[in-house]
Amino acid sequence: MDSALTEFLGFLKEGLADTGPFTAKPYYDAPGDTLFYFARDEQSYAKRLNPLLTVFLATEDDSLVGFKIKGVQRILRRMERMGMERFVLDHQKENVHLTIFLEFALVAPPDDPATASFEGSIGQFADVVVDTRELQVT
Amino acid sequence: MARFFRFDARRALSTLFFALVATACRIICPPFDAERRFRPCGRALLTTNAPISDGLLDEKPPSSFLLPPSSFFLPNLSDGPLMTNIPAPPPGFLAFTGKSSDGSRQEQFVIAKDGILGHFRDARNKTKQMEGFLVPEVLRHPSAIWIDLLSAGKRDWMVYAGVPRGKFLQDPTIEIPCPPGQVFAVYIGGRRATSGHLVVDSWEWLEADPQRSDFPIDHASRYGRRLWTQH
Repeated sequence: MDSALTEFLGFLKEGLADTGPFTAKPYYDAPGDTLFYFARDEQSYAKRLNPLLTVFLATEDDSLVGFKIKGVQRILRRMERMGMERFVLDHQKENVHLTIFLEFALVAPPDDPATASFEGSIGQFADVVVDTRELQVT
Repeated sequence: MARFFRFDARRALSTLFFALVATACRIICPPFDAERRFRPCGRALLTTNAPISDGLLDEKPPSSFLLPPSSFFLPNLSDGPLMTNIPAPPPGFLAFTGKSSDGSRQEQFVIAKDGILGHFRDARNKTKQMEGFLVPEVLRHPSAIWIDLLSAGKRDWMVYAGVPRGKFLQDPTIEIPCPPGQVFAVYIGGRRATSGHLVVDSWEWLEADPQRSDFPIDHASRYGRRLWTQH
């Protein structure tokens, strides 16, 4: 096995050795312009709801584990056009509820009407906060 | 003279016998360890040696580690299937080999330590970290490779999809069957690193196509051109 792969596997094992508790927090992937959120540390698979929103469903029972929102910069631009002050939290000027991004992403109708039921489940993430400074493209 | 030939034939037969026994032993009792799945498996793409002779790989990296999108298809990094002069990954990246997008040779991939992998590590998302072990396997042995994801801004992106031999449970020593009816997808960004490596962006399990269990569902409507297929 090549040493580079050994280093990669070592990095994974090192991370897995951390026995601390799981923390649910959003992550912005700048190259893909995608916002990820996993609410639980559980085996899941991706199911596309519409061109902007994909949900991660538990392999075990199809419950909602997380989601990813594509086209975040476009959503941010829309928010800025409407006035960012409408969306940021009063006490923390840089923070926006994740649900705002979700609502923008849900404007597109579902690819499959059968998946529309997940739109309601997403409400459980309404209180999650995103720091918009982390969404800036570097 | 006749005795000499008889002795030679006996020695040849003896050598052949021991070679066959050794091969049989390797087939019946392969060396066991959790990382053996990543060793070259004797497939065609892993068999020859050829040096990299691409000037782009000798460039000093600029401030950004990514090359412009137009450089996605670099000239062949090697004439043969195996790259021996593996370029060093950019600082902060981890490297591994996989199949080139046309399936003809080995290709080098990197993943950022502080990208999504670092996030899963910070969040202590063990499930997603565990899935990371499947990334090199699917990049080496995909069922198929597509380019041009039909999502906004994902032109030139690639997806390597495949069904790993198994997935890991809790730790990398416990291997269980993959979820039935699912395919593992690894997304590759549309820009190469300045070192010439393809950059792994993210990965996930997807539902399998009902007609083709080793392809992701809706692959025809989600992805552009299929670059390579295993069968």
